[in-house]
Amino acid sequence: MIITKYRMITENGYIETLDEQEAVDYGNYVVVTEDIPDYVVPS
Amino acid sequence: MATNIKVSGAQWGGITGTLSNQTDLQTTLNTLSAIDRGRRGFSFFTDFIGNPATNSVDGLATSVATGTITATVFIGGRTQSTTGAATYSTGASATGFAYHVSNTVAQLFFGGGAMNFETLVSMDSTATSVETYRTIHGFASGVGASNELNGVFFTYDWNSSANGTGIGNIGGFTCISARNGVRTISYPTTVGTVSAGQFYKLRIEVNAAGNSAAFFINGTLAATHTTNIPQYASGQFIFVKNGINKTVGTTASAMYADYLGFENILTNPR
Repeated sequence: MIITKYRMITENGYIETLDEQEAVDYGNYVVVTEDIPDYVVPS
Repeated sequence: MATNIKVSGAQWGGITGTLSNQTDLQTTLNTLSAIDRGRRGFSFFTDFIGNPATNSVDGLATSVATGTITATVFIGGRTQSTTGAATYSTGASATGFAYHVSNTVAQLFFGGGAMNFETLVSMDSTATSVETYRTIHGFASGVGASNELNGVFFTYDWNSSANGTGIGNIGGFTCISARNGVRTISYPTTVGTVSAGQFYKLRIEVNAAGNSAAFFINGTLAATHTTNIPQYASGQFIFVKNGINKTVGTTASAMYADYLGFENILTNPR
């Protein structure tokens, strides 16, 4: 599954969010897409 | 160092009275039977006195491909306090790995009580552009070399960009929390560049609510994450993972561990 994330740049790293508005409000961010495997909850 | 144990009320799992700190709690727990203590959580520690490749210990399993986990006698940085030790070798493969996991099935979770992890590790050699590897230390969700979907862990990742590390911290430890592939990353300056043959004490403390993770390097707080921590309510399970993964080159790379421990102090004892 390809997800779009908003990577908010911090002083010593970054915090990603799926909430575009949160990133816009934060200001310093880049858009990142990543293919992640579907998570299977252990039975 | 901070403690995650917060017992201040009149009752916790049948224990009555005022337990104001970790010492009080430990003293009280020591009077309990193994079953009574077990109902309040678990605590696992190995000094690698026995065969570290054995899967029969409850709380420790191996996940290897080409790589090996073996008992070790001569390792760089060893002192008279370094009793048992394990060697994690990638083997002569560009994709080899050697990990210890608490179980090959991710079945632990945050939020049910304080969860702590600690290991004491050293690298046989530092990574270079032609012989590159990465390590994982902490809570993760993948048994192999793939990015961790869920977890709270340290990584020493020399320019391989796995787990979203990019090239932001070549040569040092990186602190990562990941929740369904969405990450928070910190590049601490606590110890700077990792040196070969030097032991590093890596500890992670996730609070009882599962919404704050503190990363310690050699006893010093390196980072605190309050975002992108896996959640039980979302079915995001984890296990303990400690080891090494080759990324470039075919010369075996190795990591040593003096000990490995993890524990969970349940908020609501069974």
